[in-house]
Amino acid sequence: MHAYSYADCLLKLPNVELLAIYDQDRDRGGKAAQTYQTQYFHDQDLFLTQDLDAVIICSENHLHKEMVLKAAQAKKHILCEKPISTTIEDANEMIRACEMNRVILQIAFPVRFSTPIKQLKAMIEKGELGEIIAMRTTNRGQNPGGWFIDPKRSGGGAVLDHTVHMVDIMRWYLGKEVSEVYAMVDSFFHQIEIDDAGLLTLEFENGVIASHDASWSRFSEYPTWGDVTIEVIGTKQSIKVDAFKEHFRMFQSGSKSLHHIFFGNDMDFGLIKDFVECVEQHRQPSITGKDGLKALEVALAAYESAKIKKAIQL
Amino acid sequence: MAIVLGNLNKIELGDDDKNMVIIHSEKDIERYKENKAKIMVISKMKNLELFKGSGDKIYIPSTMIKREWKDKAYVYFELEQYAFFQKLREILTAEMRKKGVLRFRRLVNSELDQSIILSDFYAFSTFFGECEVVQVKRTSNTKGPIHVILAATFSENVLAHLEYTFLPQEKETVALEWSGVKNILELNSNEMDPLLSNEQTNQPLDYSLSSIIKNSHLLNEDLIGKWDQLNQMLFGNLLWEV
Repeated sequence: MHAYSYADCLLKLPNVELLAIYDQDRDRGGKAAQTYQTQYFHDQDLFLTQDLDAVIICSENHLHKEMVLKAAQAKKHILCEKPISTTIEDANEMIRACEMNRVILQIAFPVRFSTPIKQLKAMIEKGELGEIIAMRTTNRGQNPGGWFIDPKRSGGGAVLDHTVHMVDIMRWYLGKEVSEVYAMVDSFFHQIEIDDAGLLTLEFENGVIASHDASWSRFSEYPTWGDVTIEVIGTKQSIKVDAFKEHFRMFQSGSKSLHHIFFGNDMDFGLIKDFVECVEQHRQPSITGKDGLKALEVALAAYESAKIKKAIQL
Repeated sequence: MAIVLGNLNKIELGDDDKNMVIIHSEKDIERYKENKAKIMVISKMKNLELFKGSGDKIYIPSTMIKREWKDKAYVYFELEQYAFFQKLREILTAEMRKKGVLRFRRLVNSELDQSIILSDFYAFSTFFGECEVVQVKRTSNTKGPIHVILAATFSENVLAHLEYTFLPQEKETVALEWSGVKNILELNSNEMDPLLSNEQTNQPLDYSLSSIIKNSHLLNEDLIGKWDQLNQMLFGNLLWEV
């Protein structure tokens, strides 16, 4: 889903060349190569023999593991789309493979590069909120369809898709891990065989409590694709951030009369620029494989909690 | 005469003021007993006690529910008095099968008060149906605000988070989001105040005397039973330590 956006971002960077595209889907891959004026490969092994510094993996979730393992073996640095994988075992294997091959494994959590999200992080670090006691987050969007609603290829629905971003932000803000997950998961909004709604209640190891709303509840006539919000409640003050707040309200005649036209910063570009710098400078990635693993753990625990109707201790 | 126990900072007097007297002290009661006013507003429970058995219709807020008032008083739930809540009920009642996600948020300008949570939960259960409380979490901090997260399902088709931050110095705020099937409702009382001035107003969270009288429930055995049942579900009848 993000492949085109990331490719656009790469083209904006003067020191980057988009050398090749690999895609199992010949038609899609060929068209993308034409659009970005680069080579198309249908053979993954051949693709990895090219003189590439790094690869960005934006495949179906269940293919992340195989692609990361092969890229690591070929000594390519890796930016892997979230969620890192569909199982904890796969994620651990991917992290180990990248460590063994001494290549960077960064996970694509672009929300970390939203300007207001970063501003709140800075305020927390300066102590302006006091001690954090609770957080509230949302990540609600439209049903992406396609492989996202195929459990075998995605590994989970809205809860997996829209929990990992905000769990990552909460971990980043607190510097602490989630210790307990309680969740209610259901499928309300679409006639699909995968979850499209979930409410999670979390507790962190330092006692901070949090709620999270993950869903594909937004329909096509809604003014925007969805939201990313966080409210942090501190002993000194509480701050709420809406990552897509900076928008025009554009009214038009037609079935969708109101559109939100976003004019804030491009978080995808922030993510890609950071990854490229990380490769150039041979530094530790700002978002590690472990970050991806810990966010995945919470999402998978949410499914388990909903199934047994009990809180899961991590 | 109708006698209403209530918070004078929240009751919008408006058109009711000609028929109404406000009682601040026991002396006021004596003075106004012969008054032809139809409604008496009382701010303290101890003054209300004087009217027990008087034959007047007595209205008490749900946060003051006590068994001793059984069959002697009407109970009003603050949430049910808000104009936006009445509209929400109207919209969602029209849906044949309510299905979706509710997120309710209240910033309360008082110390921790479990009865506010219980009261809201009761009000929601009146139109979302049978509830199954699943989890209540609260912060354990001894200083600063106290935050509570209540996770619940109603009638197996509604997932809900009701959240409360108790902070005495803050402006009272209510935010609500309903994500239904092709139907999304969003409200934040701070953004819906029609009166913008330098004075602090909070019009969406004001309510009228006539609303209280119209939207109250006789404090009978059924109500007390349900109240006790929900209290048991939420708090196990335990009073939280602040």
